[in-house]
Amino acid sequence: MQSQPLLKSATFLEKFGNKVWEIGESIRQVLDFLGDIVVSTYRLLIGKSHFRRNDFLLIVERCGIDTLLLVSLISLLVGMILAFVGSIQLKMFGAQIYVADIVGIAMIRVLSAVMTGIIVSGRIGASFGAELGMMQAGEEIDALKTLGVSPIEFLVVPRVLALVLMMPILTIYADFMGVLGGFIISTLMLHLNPIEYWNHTQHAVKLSYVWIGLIHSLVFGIIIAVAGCLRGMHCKRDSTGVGDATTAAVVTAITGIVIATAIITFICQILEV
Amino acid sequence: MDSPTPPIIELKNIEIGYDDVSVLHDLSFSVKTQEIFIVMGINGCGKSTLLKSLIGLKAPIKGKVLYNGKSFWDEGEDEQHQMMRDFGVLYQSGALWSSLTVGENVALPLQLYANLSAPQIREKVALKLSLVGLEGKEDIFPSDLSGGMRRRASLARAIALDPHIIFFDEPSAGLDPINARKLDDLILKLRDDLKATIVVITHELASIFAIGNNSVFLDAESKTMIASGDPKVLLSDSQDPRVIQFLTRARTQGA
Repeated sequence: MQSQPLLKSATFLEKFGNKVWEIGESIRQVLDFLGDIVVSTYRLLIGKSHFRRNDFLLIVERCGIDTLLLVSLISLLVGMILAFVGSIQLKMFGAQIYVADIVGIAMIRVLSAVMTGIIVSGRIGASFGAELGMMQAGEEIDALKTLGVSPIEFLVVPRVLALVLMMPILTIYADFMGVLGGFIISTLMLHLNPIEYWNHTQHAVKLSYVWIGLIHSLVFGIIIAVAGCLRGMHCKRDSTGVGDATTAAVVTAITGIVIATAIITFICQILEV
Repeated sequence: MDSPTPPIIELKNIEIGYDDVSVLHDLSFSVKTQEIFIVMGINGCGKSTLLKSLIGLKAPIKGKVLYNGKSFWDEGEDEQHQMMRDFGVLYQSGALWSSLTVGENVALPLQLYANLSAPQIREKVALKLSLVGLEGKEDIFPSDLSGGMRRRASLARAIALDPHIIFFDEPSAGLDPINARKLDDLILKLRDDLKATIVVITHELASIFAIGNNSVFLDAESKTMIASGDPKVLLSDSQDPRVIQFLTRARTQGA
């Protein structure tokens, strides 16, 4: 049920109540949508779903091609920036070699996943929102429903699975590019020994950090895909609807990424990993 | 003496709307097999909302929609999907899936439900496209088609599974008179070739009189049906000024 539009003369309490109602409705909408995705994924696993493998592979391909260049550039630059900033502080203690530790741990544990998540939100999450929004506005989703095909099974699940698959792969790649960025600055500009840098990186980065990075990326993949698809599927059928859905997809995804990062970091702190 | 043909579609005291706001109420009418049934009325009278309830997109607030005596909204999801496979729907915008070619659009329902081999599907797609005058357009994307062609391609998709009931939402909206007439002829041809029952949502008078043999008139003010029957008979016999004004395009008093 939609909330009633506010009158100009609405009191503070009415406005507050309306806002709380809207937030409650949004949470219900997200939970409904997540529930539908879980049911549809289960139906896929038991072979009862309308799932087109070719569509899935196309989305996977697009997730890679559309983001690879940006992920390369941004991760390389973030690795370089970390090395520069770290070296300024570490130089004061004559401990410049620990730049390798800073770059390795920061990139592999969290930064590669966050950077990749933000890039993928802008490129892929936005395109999911726009595509599904256009399909909603053009009655294409209605056409699927009248054919007895669940749009969640047909459109949403392939997108979620594609990002769940691609985000960890892109994050591993971003890890490599970030460490490479730190390596380039450390060896070419800070004149550190390349072998020593490599040894320090290997020593500092534990396997558990790689896993933490991968968990981040997996969670971000789900957040980005769900945000993009949810906003697209609930797109209004007017001229501003698709634009609003696209913007909302990116904003929701990035907000979700930041919140999820905070939660995962907090959990890791409690578990002492 | 022949027994009367049972209705293929029957609406009983339907009320439809959004949230708790009623758009139409007290709708009761039936559609006989192979009829071309027109749902007419001015803009905003609830024609498209009614269509959504008929094709399974929106549950009515109350009342029953029966197909061959089975109450659609009282059935389980699987049974509803089974019943929907007997519907073909031509949407106002065409609603072709833009990421698929015309051929793939027509092929999708067949791939999902027809249990045919790939060559058989290709053959059937070609047949359906030729039926709507789009031979050889399999590999074209919907965005490269004109409005009229897009609508015909959408019709080819709607009839892919040889449905017994075909719904048309404003089929001639935005078409020039020649293409609108061609589409009307196509609707008549489909009714005869597929032995299908046709429900057309429209306010195009030329189409209403050219193809309709039964109808309901929905009134935006009273939010219900105020007339029903053959449109030509309504034109000659109706006493309701709102129906006469609509069917004769008469000026509003004082305009």
